[in-house]
Amino acid sequence: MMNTKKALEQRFIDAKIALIMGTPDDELDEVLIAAGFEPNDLEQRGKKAIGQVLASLQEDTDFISSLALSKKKEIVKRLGIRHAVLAAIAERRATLESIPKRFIRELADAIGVAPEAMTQSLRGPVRLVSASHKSDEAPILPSQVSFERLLKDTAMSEEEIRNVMREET
Amino acid sequence: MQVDDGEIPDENEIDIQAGDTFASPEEIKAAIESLYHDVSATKRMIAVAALFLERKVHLGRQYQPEDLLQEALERIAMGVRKWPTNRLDFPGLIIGVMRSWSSSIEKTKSREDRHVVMEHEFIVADGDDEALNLEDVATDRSTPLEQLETYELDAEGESYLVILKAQYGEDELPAKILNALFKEPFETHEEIMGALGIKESDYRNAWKRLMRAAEKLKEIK
Repeated sequence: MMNTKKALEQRFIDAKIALIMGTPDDELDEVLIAAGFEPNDLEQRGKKAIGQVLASLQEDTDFISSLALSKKKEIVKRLGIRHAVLAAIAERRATLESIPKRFIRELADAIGVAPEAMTQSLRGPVRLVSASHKSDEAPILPSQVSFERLLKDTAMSEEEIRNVMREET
Repeated sequence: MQVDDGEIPDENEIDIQAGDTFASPEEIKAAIESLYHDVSATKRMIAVAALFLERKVHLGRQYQPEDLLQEALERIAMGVRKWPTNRLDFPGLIIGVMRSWSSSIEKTKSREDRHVVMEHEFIVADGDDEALNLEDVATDRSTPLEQLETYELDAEGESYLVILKAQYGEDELPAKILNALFKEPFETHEEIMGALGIKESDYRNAWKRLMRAAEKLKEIK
């Protein structure tokens, strides 16, 4: 019985949504006002939300550094790498071309972003995530190396490296 | 406008169908930019977001309509929700993402708010000697507070629609529309217009009257 009541109000709301979406532009404000909205307020709120998304799209997004430690641990375990490797990837210390596409896909999947967005995030020069220098001089950025070199530098075994470097057959 | 409103068990799960073609990140960015410059579409999206939040007890306390729209756009921009361009237009996609994400988070938040229920919190009516059915208790995963909130929402929803309908004579168009709407689920407004045999302008005017009256009732509530 409660579900029926719920369904009735939901139908009323769904009908309002369909009406708002189907109303021609020149009559829209009138319909919105009738539905209890203030059109100018809707426009301002909408512009704010969309503007923030557009601004974030222009940014150089680092999907890794802001993750919770527990999530980083989960990713490191899932991908079979060291924490230092994950931090180095976030800093773009490996050249994009040298990272296996399968690895990027799995990393993206583990974080919950699209592989295209992950690839875009890893493209570009080294970025220092944790650097906080107090001197007046700019820090010297490390140079980029191949992904395989990076794995070797963190003392991963040959077998672990082979597993990480494998591409899909 | 098509809307992606399928039930999605996991809101991160992407409903992929054979033959789907997906928008590239550049196409998605262009669509968001286009939305920014489309004043009418922007107003529609925020209004729809507000309507989605209307019945969300938990999410509604923390989210404004613009937060819901932003969340949906971010999920699309990040590729968490793909855009099958062969099946959905951009507004339809946004509405589908807002709907599924808000429902999913509402469920999560209601679980977070769940607390241990003490025996004395179960309300037993006077003289009711029926044994407490533990199976029923176990399957109803809502807290007493949650059940009360749902009950109040449903009761409010029902009473306000009954009062709304009572404001019109049975032969008046708004009452006929409500009757048609509540009789059976409809797919489009065109179906109701067709069933009632009325012009679009009359139909829309009747809806404006209905919505204005509904808003007045909300103010009184």
